[in-house]
Amino acid sequence: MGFFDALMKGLKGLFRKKQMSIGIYGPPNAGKTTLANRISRDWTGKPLGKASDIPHETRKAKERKEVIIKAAGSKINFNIIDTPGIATKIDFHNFVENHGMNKTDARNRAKQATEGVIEAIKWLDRVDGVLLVMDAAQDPFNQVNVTLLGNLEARKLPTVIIANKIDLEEASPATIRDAFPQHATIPISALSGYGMDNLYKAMIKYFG
Amino acid sequence: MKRVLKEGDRKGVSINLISTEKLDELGSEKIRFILDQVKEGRVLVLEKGLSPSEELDLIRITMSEIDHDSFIGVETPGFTGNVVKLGLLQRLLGRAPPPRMMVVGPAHLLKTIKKDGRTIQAMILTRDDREGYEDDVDDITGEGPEGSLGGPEEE
Repeated sequence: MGFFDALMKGLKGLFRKKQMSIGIYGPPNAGKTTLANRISRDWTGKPLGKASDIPHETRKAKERKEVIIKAAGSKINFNIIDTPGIATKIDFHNFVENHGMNKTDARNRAKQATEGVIEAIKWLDRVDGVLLVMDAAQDPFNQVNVTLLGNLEARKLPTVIIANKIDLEEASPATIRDAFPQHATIPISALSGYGMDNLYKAMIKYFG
Repeated sequence: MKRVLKEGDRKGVSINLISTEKLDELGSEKIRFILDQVKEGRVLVLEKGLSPSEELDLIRITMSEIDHDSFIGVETPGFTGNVVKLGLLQRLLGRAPPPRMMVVGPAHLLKTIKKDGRTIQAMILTRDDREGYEDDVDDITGEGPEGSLGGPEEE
């Protein structure tokens, strides 16, 4: 490391917040909670929330403080916030027809999910950076991804796109990278842990 | 609760093209206007789409107004040019291009089939497509008022 680099790093360290709040955002079922649990387990030994195949499992934001990530010769103290999935529509029939829930439970879940979306949007005012989780096996041009990215750019929030679920045969992280070339895209499998080292380096680089 | 018949149920779906001038005229009432129209069962084609913050407002307000019986949300296919492959000059200047055309419709009537940066394929669902949905509406009627659902539970 040259003198200039060392100086810049030192100056950056002086002005860095003691804890960076990083929001994990994305549409439902992109793997946000699986990722939050992976990060939390890797650095604190404890999971953050319950992950499930049923959409809108996370209906309230959950926060893990003091997640100290060490990578690329640096360490940063993060607050990791797992936010409810953002959606433009929530139909309780989906929980009944596709997930075998009874109607009362399905309606409760749908109602809580709408409140979760509102809470996730509110959290955008409180985070210092965002991990935007996309399902690499799905079309990245969905309105939630595009709307979120537009807002993150408008707010100038540091953002790393996570191309998750690359363990799936049909996953194509390159499609995400091509769709949003102005952002760093890190392919991972939050489920298996593949690619997490690269993600931690990216978090240090872009949020540090 | 009896479901009120909308234009889209029996007389086809109303598709309203909204000019840039009209949208600009609406100013801060834009989101309210769009949502009121969509809740009436209309599909709107906006000549100039919404900004990212307006889209987020639309999502937030939509979520607060979903009633799970007659309004389940919005479908908003559109060319949001703000984040997709900005030109070098735009990136250097930090200037996003203006929002492009957007369609907004009720989620039970409008479905986006395929979308990329250049093409959007959407479908207006027919009564047959929604048959199961309407059958269920009748069943739900006997389950008590919306207010009996209770608030969110801690997980």
